[in-house]
Amino acid sequence: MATLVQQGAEAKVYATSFYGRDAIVKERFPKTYRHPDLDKKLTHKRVVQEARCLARCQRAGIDVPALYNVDTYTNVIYMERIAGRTVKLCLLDPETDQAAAVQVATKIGESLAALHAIDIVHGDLTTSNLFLRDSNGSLAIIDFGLSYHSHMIEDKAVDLYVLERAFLSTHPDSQAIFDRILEVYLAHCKQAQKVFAKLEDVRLRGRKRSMVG
Amino acid sequence: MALTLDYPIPGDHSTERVFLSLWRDVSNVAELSAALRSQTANFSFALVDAQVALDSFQLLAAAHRAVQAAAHDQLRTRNIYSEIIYCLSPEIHIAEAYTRYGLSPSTRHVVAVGVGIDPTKFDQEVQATIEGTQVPMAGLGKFTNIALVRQYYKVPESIQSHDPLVNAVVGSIALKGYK
Amino acid sequence: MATFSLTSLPNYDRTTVISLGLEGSANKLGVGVVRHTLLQPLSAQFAGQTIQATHLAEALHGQQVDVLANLRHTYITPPGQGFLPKDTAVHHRQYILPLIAQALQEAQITPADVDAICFTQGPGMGGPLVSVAIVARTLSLLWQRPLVGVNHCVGHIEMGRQITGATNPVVLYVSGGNTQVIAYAQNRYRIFGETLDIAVGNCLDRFARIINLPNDPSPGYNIEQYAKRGSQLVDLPYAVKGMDVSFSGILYNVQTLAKTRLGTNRSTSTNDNADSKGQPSTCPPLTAEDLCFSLQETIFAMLIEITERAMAHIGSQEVLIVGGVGCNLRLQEMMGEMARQRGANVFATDERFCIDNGIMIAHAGTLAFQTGFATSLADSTITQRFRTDEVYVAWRDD
Repeated sequence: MATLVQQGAEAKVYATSFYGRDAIVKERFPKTYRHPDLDKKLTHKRVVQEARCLARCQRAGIDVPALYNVDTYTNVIYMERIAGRTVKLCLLDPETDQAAAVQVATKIGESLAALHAIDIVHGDLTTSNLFLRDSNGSLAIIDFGLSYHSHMIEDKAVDLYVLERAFLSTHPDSQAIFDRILEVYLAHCKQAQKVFAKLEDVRLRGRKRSMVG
Repeated sequence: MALTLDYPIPGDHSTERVFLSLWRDVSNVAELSAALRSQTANFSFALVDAQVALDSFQLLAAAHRAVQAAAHDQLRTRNIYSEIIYCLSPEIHIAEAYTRYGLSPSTRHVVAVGVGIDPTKFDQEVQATIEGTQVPMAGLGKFTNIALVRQYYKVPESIQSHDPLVNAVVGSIALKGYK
Repeated sequence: MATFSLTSLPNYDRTTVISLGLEGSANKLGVGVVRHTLLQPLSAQFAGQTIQATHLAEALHGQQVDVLANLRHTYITPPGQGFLPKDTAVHHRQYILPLIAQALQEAQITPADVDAICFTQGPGMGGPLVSVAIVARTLSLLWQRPLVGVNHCVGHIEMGRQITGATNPVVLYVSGGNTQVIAYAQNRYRIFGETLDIAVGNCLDRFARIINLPNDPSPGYNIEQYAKRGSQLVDLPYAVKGMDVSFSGILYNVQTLAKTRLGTNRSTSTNDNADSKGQPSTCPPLTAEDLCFSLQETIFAMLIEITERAMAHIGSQEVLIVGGVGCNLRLQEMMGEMARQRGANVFATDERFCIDNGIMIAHAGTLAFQTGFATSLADSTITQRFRTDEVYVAWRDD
């Protein structure tokens, strides 16, 4: 019934159905390298956090997979299976021209601004975790497995930094596209100036950290 | 058109199914309600006030939570059917869940939600219990009091159309106890 | 596609290169002598043709590497004290010449046999780096041999690959100054994840100082021994953000626990006191051992998690641990368990190679040297901040 679609480091994702709707089921499995208590705590926390973030986003009108069910007994989440493709595939597709890429970047900037406006930090922003719906071209943010609630400017800056690194390593010649994301983010997020200032700090920290120790 | 809807339960409970049937103008609500309250009834289904039922998916999501709780011996209420009523509520207060989602003096139309293996048995039991007219589940929307649903599930104003509304309600049901 | 001309490569008509490696970026002073032996001279392999980068890389990969000497002297400070750059530089200046003389003697070579002088150009502490670089420059002028400046992190990676035979691993580089998850792509060691604040070894060292563990043989080693006797896992923050980690919040928390929950008398006596007063303690008694255990379990789990994420991201089935913290057996065990669960292989080295040493500098320097790289006197200034991905890796072409 369920087909394995992704074997991640911490979870298996299956395509299935949930009472007549196309669904994916994400099942977290124990990581045996971790202390069992730490593993239980982390796994439970991440299942609940992921579900909470999905529901918060949905209620705020941010396009994310709809949450169907949370099962903390078996560490499973059922959610909407979106028909579409990742931004990664879209940007790597030779058919995607500059104008189309800019349009995608605009949607990403708007979504991230909305996400940060409700104090949700995604924690794993990559172009594989941004999804374009076949139905209406809407940009859905997926995989909230490392997401959390935070009003800290620093956390939001790190979120952008994670995306910047993932974006530029996956799409090496796309600085302009990434800049467009930031430009739109700036226009839509009240705290953008502060987040950008912090982003600058985080970038420098990455490259010029003190080596004394 | 089949009157009763019938879905397999996903996951490990796959031999069981969830059944839904909708009843218009139920005349013995007071009697059913009293039987439930006095615990003399032994119904093998939950009775939901149709005005708070927005979509079958909402009822199925609640039924699924009840099945999960039963499977892990974690029922908060008397049995799996009272648990379905409790699971429909996004709040943890049990008595309030019964008043809002179960039968009340103002209830006119009723949805029966069952969990089991045999759909015929479900139909027979429900038909023997409810005095009213069975209508297709697809007509559920006609009986929904959307304002009440919005109020109970605290749905933000920005969400208006049906599908996002159902998603918001189902999300609240899924997140109950984890907020 | 990069190519090389034969005559631009040093020693092209010989099979061997012997290098001296000098390392002093932190509190360890290392001197190593290494000999690289090609199957046949480059002139015999590539007579009269331009050499493709791939072919040179293959030739260098296939050569034999012999460690002729590997000496180390560590500057050890009293318990509760870290090593300051100035004092560490004094230590290095004091020991480097005798150490070099002893290394040549052990290798049974004379200065005339040395083909290149490799030294750590960074990253690291300024003072200690300078004191070693000055010796490298002086020897280069005195012996009339080329200088090769080496990135310390690249030294660790190349030595790890050489010793373990890992071909293209995801590298977890963990030491007192660095915490990085690295993978090779297109002639650079690229950083996939790293610490957003302090290095993991720094976090461990600073905690060791708080609970007054000795710095001999190293604070990290002593934490590891304490952790073996700990059993209670206390709740510490777990800070993974994408493929990056953060340790400062954890350090703050565990320090606070050490100050508030550990009595002046440790574990058993605290327990006895509570009993004698007849007051049941609401919190279970915590020992320094428990804190070391909890700290290790938490921060190592974070490191393994980001390493696994990088492996999943690039689809690698090999992982190599390098750097001083890489000696920690619990870290190696956890990495092994992660690798087992995903059917991957883990590679680690022992303390001779994971702790800073001269061999790794000599080895990585030689590989660069064999591709025609040398550092002019003018360019031989040290740099405290030297990113792993700044180095052009000409000796690989996969």
